[in-house]
Amino acid sequence: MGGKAILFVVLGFSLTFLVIGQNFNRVTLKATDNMTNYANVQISHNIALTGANISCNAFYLDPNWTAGYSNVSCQGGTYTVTYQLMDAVKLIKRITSISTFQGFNGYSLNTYHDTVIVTFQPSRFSRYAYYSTSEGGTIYWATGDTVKGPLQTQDYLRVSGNPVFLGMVGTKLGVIKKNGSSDHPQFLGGLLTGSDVPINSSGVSSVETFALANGFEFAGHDTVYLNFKGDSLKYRYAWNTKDTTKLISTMVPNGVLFVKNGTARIRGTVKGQLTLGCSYVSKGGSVYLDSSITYNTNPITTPSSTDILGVVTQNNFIIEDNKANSNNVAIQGSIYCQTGSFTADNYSTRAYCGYINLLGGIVQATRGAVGIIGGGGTITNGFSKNYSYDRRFMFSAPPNFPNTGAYNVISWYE
Amino acid sequence: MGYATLIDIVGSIIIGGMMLGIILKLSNTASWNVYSNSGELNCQTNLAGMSLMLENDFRKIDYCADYTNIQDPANAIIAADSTSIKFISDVNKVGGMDTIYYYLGPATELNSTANPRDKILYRIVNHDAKMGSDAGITRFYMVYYNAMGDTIHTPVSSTDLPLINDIELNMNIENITIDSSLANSYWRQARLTVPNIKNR
Repeated sequence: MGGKAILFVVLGFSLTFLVIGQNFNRVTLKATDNMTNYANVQISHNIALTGANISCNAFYLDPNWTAGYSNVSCQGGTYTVTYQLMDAVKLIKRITSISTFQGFNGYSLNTYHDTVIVTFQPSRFSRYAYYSTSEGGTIYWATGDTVKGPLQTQDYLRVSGNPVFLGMVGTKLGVIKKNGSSDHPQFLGGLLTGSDVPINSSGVSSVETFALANGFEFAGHDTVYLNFKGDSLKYRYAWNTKDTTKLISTMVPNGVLFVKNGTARIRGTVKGQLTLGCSYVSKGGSVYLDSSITYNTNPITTPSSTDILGVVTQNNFIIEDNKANSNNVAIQGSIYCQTGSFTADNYSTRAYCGYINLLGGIVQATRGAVGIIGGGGTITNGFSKNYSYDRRFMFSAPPNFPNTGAYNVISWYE
Repeated sequence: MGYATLIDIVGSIIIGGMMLGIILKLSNTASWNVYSNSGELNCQTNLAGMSLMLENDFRKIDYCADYTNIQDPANAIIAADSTSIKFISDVNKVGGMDTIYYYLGPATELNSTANPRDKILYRIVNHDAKMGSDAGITRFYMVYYNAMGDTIHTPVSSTDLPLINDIELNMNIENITIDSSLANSYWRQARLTVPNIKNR
């Protein structure tokens, strides 16, 4: 009898400990499961991210990359990347990276997937607030200068004091500080040294191609006077002749206007999206600003404005030395000078003309001058600068504006 | 019935009582441990769930399924303070931008809980009713950095909002266990990179 009782006691205790042990194990396992599940999700996410980043690098090295990846081993799992052309006209491309990772959660082996989707668009020079191939000798960005958008130079970026750069700054050759360690440039959008974005040497010719396709080309004229009047365009071929007026939408369906082997002289108010190209074959190739050129709807006061202007010149964009430009001048658009500069005519001898109120960006081969600084540190001749970046250029571009040959990310889903 | 039987009965009562006491003590200790461990588990589960939700939302700042509706990254974060942030994102991946607002409520909202420090983390999408999570959060704060890694002071001014490049997320969750001890879990996302606001 005593033996049986002891047996029951032992069995009873064993059962009690088993139940308690089971409870402890359950709680411990759940805690571990919770942790491993979080870790597995993170690993799966990292694998998908790795696939996306490697694909971005492939795009960077070869903008025509379409191959994708299939079941590439990574961090104990695999990723598969597929390529998709979203918009054949705008060349919007997309890659989708999907990870597969098997990890234990509890007693079972679970499969985890994560997805990263990256959308690219062709990078156009209009996205730069400022671009130069050469900084034109030893011109410095100095205290008081503020650049509000992306900046790229193929030269050294020369700084003096504390200039502020709000957008991403890229310089191929590096940064030179005039005063050494006492200079503190503010790169608030980041700094990329070694960044190489050569100017598009076929930018002007590509604009001409589109003008011939479904736009309009002026050919055989030394000078074309273009006066933008909102929906309409008034043009003539000599200063003392009468204007011809046409509706821009019917004259230039794709928004690309071109002056071949001549000089364009522009002024007025632009409505809609327009790119003006100007080429040099044996003469011309420059655009002169006869008077301010602005948008019909100002994007500063009306952010939903769809008015966008691009000027693509073979040589220079020159602010004419005339009465209309003698007391401030407004330029709204992105200016692209393939081999020349953005400059002011007679900048060193003309009187002080107030401010260049630019809303847009300047892309130039060589940094040009628009004024002269006197001994007192103020502008004595030419123009002071009041440059603002049109942030719409981060995503939008004038029609068929020259591209950089690369792509930039416009959307990242993870 | 002699002395031997009496001693057997008394001895049985004593031994039985001791065994019963041991079993009750064991049961009691086991219950305490289970509750205590469950408190830790709840704390950890809440933390993992909250951090997954935060990471999911914050990584999608300025994302839009319809790329033509993507907004200027400079305007992606509408307001930012140490314990609150408002930003735009396509929450349901339907191609339209939504406004998401996270903020930490005051501790006085949860006077009835055992922990005097816990607060509700609210998540409001557009103008929907506010959705709060009483997960035992006692601290939730963010630190903002510009592209050079420098800290941006809070509350972030409207001129500094476009400069936000990385966000540090910190969250502490506490759970008062049965014996009034504290289960404590802390999570930090040291640098949460938001890819869509880097396009500048």
